[in-house]
Amino acid sequence: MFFRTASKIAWRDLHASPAKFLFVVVAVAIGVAALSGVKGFGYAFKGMLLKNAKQLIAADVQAQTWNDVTPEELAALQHLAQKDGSMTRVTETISMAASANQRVPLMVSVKAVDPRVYPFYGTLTLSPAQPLCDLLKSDSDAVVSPELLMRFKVPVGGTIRLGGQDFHITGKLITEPDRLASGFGPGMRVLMTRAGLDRTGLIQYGSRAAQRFLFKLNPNVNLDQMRAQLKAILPRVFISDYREGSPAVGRAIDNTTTFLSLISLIALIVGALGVAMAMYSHLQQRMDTIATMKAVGARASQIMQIYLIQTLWLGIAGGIVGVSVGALVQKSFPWLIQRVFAFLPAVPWDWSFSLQGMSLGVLATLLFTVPPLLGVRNVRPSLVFRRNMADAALEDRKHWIDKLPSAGGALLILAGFSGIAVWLSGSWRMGGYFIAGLAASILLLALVAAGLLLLMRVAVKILQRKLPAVFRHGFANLYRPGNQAKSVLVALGVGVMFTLSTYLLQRTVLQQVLSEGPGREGNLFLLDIRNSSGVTNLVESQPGVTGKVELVGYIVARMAAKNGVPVERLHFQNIRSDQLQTIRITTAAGLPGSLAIKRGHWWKPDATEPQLAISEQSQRAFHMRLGDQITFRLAGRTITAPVVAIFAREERAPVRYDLVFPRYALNGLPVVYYGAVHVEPSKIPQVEEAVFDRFPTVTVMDLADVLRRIQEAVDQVALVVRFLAGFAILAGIIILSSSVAGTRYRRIREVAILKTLGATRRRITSIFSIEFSILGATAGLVGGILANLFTRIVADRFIDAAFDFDWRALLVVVVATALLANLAGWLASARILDRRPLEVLRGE
Amino acid sequence: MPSATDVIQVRELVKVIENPPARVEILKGITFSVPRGQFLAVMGASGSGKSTLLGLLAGLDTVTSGSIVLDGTEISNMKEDRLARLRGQKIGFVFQSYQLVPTLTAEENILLPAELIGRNGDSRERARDLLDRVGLSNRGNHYPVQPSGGEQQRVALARAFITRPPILMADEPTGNLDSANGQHVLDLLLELNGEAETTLLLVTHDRKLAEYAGRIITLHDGTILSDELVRRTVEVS
Repeated sequence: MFFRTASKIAWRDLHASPAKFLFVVVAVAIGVAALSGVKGFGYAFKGMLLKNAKQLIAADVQAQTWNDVTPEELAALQHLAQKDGSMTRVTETISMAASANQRVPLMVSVKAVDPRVYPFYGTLTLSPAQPLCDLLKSDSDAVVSPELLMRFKVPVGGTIRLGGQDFHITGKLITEPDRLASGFGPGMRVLMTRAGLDRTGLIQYGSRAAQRFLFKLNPNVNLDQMRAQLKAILPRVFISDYREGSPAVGRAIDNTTTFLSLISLIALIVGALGVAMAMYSHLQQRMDTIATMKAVGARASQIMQIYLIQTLWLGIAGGIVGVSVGALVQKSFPWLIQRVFAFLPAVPWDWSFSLQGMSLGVLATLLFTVPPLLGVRNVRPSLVFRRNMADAALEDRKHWIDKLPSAGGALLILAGFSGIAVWLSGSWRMGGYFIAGLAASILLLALVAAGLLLLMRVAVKILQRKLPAVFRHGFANLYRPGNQAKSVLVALGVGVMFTLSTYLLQRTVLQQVLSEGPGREGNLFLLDIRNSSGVTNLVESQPGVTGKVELVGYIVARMAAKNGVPVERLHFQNIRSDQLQTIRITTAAGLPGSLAIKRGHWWKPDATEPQLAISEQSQRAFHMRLGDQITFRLAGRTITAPVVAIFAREERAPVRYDLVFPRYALNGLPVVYYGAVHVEPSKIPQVEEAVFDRFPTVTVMDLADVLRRIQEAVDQVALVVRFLAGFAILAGIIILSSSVAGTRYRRIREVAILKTLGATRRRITSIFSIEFSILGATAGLVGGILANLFTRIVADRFIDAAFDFDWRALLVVVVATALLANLAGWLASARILDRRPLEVLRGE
Repeated sequence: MPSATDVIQVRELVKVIENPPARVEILKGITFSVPRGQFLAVMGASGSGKSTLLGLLAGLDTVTSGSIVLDGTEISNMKEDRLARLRGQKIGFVFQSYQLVPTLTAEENILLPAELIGRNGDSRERARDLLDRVGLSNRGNHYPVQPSGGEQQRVALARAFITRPPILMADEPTGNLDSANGQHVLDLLLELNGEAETTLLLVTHDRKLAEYAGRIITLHDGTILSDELVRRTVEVS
């Protein structure tokens, strides 16, 4: 029966201070928007993948391999295709290309197709709008993406040079349905005929090229039977059909959705923390009403009902706003990925995700308002006799039994958010780690904040006589009843920690690439080198080249047997059978400096007999031991080699060694080399041009270009994290403002008393500014130190980079946060200084 | 000696506030009882313990030791929610600073105690009747910030009587009002109290106000200094 009255009070209370509650709504809305947008898009996208699956692989079923197939296998495939439908082959690789107006070569993705039949499903968008076979009439015709035309400064009708051959550009390739199917999707595109690709000589043994055999099946053909027959012909290749909806893309979407969902959950949690603080401050200001209601007969549960209803409405309002914004996010995703996907079907609006997002928003809001709501129990009705109720704090009682419900509330929050994290990540383990990590961070921040506050209190006590009065007052204000110093510190600290960590990590990653990455020996990379001496001589004779070309040879092999047992009969954990098809074997003469022998012996530098040195990682992955006989098939030959050494490798080393053969043991085999050289930056274009002219199939990469790409990728991630960190800081500011607003009455009275006793405006301003500055600076300090520690751990454990404590960044953060806190504090204290003392003191 | 007609029985009531190392004994073992229908004034200087006594009698605070029996119910060890329910059923309150809920209109404020204990039958009619009795029938839809102090206290008076409680407790009910308004409120209080035959407990430091009562207990430093039955010397104006 009380529900109506409770709702009435809740509603009017909301109306009384809309600005305060607007923050609550916005805080919930941001988290919900992020969650429902990300989840909804992920789901809709997967639905779209399934719906357009045939277009995504441009076929009913496909077999994909990174190796070339034998003539017998090809014949069997063709026979199968004639019987059950039709087949076409698509080959994709990367290469350097140049034009008359862009003499310095750039990397492009090359795709060779049969224009008469490709694609089986979906459509190519071409300009001019003609069938592909009309645009690729000859082997020297190519259709290219608009970006290529722009970068190469060449029009349709112009020419680009690729693999030592000229290609006539006959049209623009706007979209292609199966762009993501091979892994060569990003970058500038060149579409040509198979014969055209053969002209370039790009595809040789060991080249990095994806071969896809696409099948269009007759209506009566059973898909599973077809797959089984394909598997019989090509037992170790990756086979997929349209029903899987592009599994690689699907997996990528799943992973991305989970990652973004968990980041969104952080936004929601920080928002909910802000909501809790706002509700705390609100209840603090409603102490008189709560005490009065208790005095006239209200039970704690009845009063909680009022504020619970209020919280519920705020959660729902935030949820509705969030879901609406989330829908916009969801709608804008297709626009963001339109370059990659040919088709842009309207992503269907999925109410279930909106509802889920909203439920999560409401649940998060309710969970975090449990502790302040429980505080209602502790409001003593006898407060009605006190003249200054605003002085009373919504504090816990001292007896441990009275603290049980609060502890229960904390457990409820933890359990609730763990549940949400598990649900979002779809994994107990990941959800558990996420929540444990987050809870530990917040707890650590809270402990450090409490410790620092205590330290300050002690310091002030000791230095009492030596400190100027304004400082003593400013410090003392931090401990006033109802002042949420610890909460403000935690919220602002979380924000600072996120922001600074992002910056420091970003800088560390780039520094690592610069100082310890593959560019240690040089700033120009050379890939796919076949004529090692030719390329080395050419490069070393170029002006501006200041060092020797360091070359490492490798060959792609198929692991066939271990100790005579075929690998098909062996089970290697974490290694798929198709991965055994493309094992990269590196060659080395002497022991490379980045390796340390753990067991066995390295060979003599001029050794020619086959023998194998393996990394500790490979030893674990393939369960190998010293003396094991490993059989490889490479370039039509079968080589069996004993394991003679097991080594540990430096993870930072420029070359990654796993399975190593003596350099001269593979004489006569098509070894491919890659290497690095140091070139004066201004001379790099000339070297690139020279290599392209003489060795057009060698890929040349400028370190600056690589860095730019890494920077772009890191920037994108950093942008998302910074946005969320910015929100955490905003929540901290609002919490600080709410906290200051919560002690407004007390501040007004204090100002009146100080003014009456002769304090000038300047003096009072100083006292408050000192309080806000201490709060901000401490939050900056705690957050900054934790960010440095966090970056150190990540740098050590995950990216293996060196990181030194950044004192300068810490100083900047401390000053910036102090200024920010002053801004927030003074915004909430506006007009306090203007009140006339008599008016305030009489009002008492 | 307590008797069966006593609506309030207080025995050896002690209230200590401990804030280590400080320990303040506010009430030092008070014993008295109040017969049904009596108008009792509790007087004393500031800090004598009179507001604390009122708070303990209403179950708004917890006793350190001793016992309080309200209308036959021992309340000194009662849980908070039961106390709240008991207050709603048995006690009407008038405070010095009115204590109206700012988000409820005058009429809704009057109705609140009845709604809290789930007594909704004729409450609305009674609220309107009480509004009429306190001369505010045209102010029912006004929020507490709108009327004057005197009008707010009249709303609080009406609220105190809505559930027809057997006991009415008033803490300096005219303390925040000018003399004219104070007199008006006092007249209404006595009038409504007379009609309802409620036991009235008035806490004040104003001797003139206390002399309206039939009995005056004077507190000094947490003990009863005097307990006197008085003849009414002032008539209700």
